Amino acid sequence: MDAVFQRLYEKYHHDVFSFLFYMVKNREQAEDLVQEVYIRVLKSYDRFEGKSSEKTWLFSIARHVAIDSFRKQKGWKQRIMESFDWNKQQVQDFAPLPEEIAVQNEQIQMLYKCLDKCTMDQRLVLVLRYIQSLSIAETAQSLGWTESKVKTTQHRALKILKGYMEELTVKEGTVDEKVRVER
Amino acid sequence: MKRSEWNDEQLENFLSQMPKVKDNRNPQEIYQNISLKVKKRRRPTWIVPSLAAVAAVVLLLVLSPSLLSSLNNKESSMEESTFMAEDSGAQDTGMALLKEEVTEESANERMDISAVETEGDQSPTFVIREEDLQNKTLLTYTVPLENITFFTTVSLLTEEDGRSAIEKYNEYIPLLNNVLTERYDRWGLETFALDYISFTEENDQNGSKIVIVNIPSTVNPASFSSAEAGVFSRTIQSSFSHLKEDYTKAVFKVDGVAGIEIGQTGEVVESFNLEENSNLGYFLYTKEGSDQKFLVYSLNVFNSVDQAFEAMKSQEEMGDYILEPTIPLDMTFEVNANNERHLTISITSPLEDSEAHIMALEAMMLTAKEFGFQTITFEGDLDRVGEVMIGTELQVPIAPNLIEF
Repeated sequence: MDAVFQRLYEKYHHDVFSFLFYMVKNREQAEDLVQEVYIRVLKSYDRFEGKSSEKTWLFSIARHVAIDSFRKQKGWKQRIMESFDWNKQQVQDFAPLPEEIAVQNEQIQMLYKCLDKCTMDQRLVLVLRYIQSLSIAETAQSLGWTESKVKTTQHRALKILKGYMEELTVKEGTVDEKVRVER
Repeated sequence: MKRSEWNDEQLENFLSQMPKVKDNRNPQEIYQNISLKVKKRRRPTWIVPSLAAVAAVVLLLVLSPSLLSSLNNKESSMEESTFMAEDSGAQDTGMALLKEEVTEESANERMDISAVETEGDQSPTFVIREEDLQNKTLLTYTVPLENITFFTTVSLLTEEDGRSAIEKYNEYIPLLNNVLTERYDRWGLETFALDYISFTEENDQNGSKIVIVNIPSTVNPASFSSAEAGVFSRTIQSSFSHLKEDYTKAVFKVDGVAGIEIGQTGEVVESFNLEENSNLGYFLYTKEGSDQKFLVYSLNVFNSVDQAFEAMKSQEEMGDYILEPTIPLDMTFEVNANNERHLTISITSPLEDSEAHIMALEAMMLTAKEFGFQTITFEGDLDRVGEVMIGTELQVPIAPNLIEF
């Protein structure tokens, strides 16, 4: 086995996989995409200049792979149609939760569902910042953005999540007590 | 009703508790899946096109003597039949385009390189001027970007061959869309949406030129979503306003019958007036991580050219999508409309011969054009900024965003 592959696998595989999984929310697709990330990485590894850390470089490639896969899935015309198709969105809400999420508490499950309500950029920031626990600077590097763009996007994303979480909480009415106890 | 309040900290806390999801496959399996693809050496991209070109030349040499003799006899009848087959013209030109595209691919690469090489001695420009149109026919197409939040118009310069822009219009759509798709990652522009429409031209009873928008009966504009209807209308309204031929109207026809319903308005529209004065400003768009700059229409319509210039000093924003200002915040100037056609802009801050200032002046000129001005004079402390001469009366530019293809 290729030494570079082995090293990258050991160091970053689960992080990159996890990132892709939260972006596409589908295990099989994430498995395909993580392979695509390795293909791109290994092809261009000799061009990696060490300007950024290896980790942020990998995430930036993973991000491109994820975005490309979204683009391949649908042209912009379908993207518009989908945003008008309310039935479809509801179906998505009831899609079965992956095992890892299903065993978590209700808030985590709700958050997982609410991630859908964020735009792609917002979801990128949330996943990198909190699930991968990258710093603002590392996130900015991975996304090729300025730090201030990361901050504003993060702020907007949290606001959107908050809105939907509150809506869901009121609707389900069950989580309320737990929230208060935990505080 | 119960209410729970969430604060950022709680959310952040829960987010960081989200579990990491593990890939259950073992590394050997993954490596096997990828190793084939990594090791396969890509053939250099120029081999196929150049082989095709060589083959084409050989074929041409072999066939030309016999073709020439038979062509002479058939020429007159050929002309007639192509004229008759105007409807299927799109398919015919499709073949021609296919041929072009083969050589195109290798040309693309050369084009990119030559652009870099000339950068040294030629200053950048973001507009097309009258003098660029010598022996050329200008084609302009309006395309959406950033999730159809914004629109821009891109320009192609084609060799003049006696045909008008509209007569050539359909022929270049596949080529344009091909280029836009290929470079989406760097440019961020969507494709020209109305690729299913055939555009022709006519003269109306007043003798002015009009564009006929022939919509195939298989497409039903009445069923467009509001977003699609928006793209449709905007594309028609902006695509033709920069063309050199003065088309005054776009008339909609379905199977030869005028009038369509666009979106669920219930209103039947027969035509759009193609007004040159849109009263829009121009902002800067570059796709994230790219350095290709495009001038993009403002979202707002402005009351005056001064107001537009003032707005062009700050960002144009819609939700998450942002256009950058074209005029630097520290550039100060006085605007004087001498009459309806001539505008004088006295720049009181120091000018520099930089890309930012070239863009500022050119964006101002294009904006002035959208307000109906035909000439413009800049006053300032330099003789020229890029291609823009200071202190002389200049014609407003013809169109923005030249695309090399």
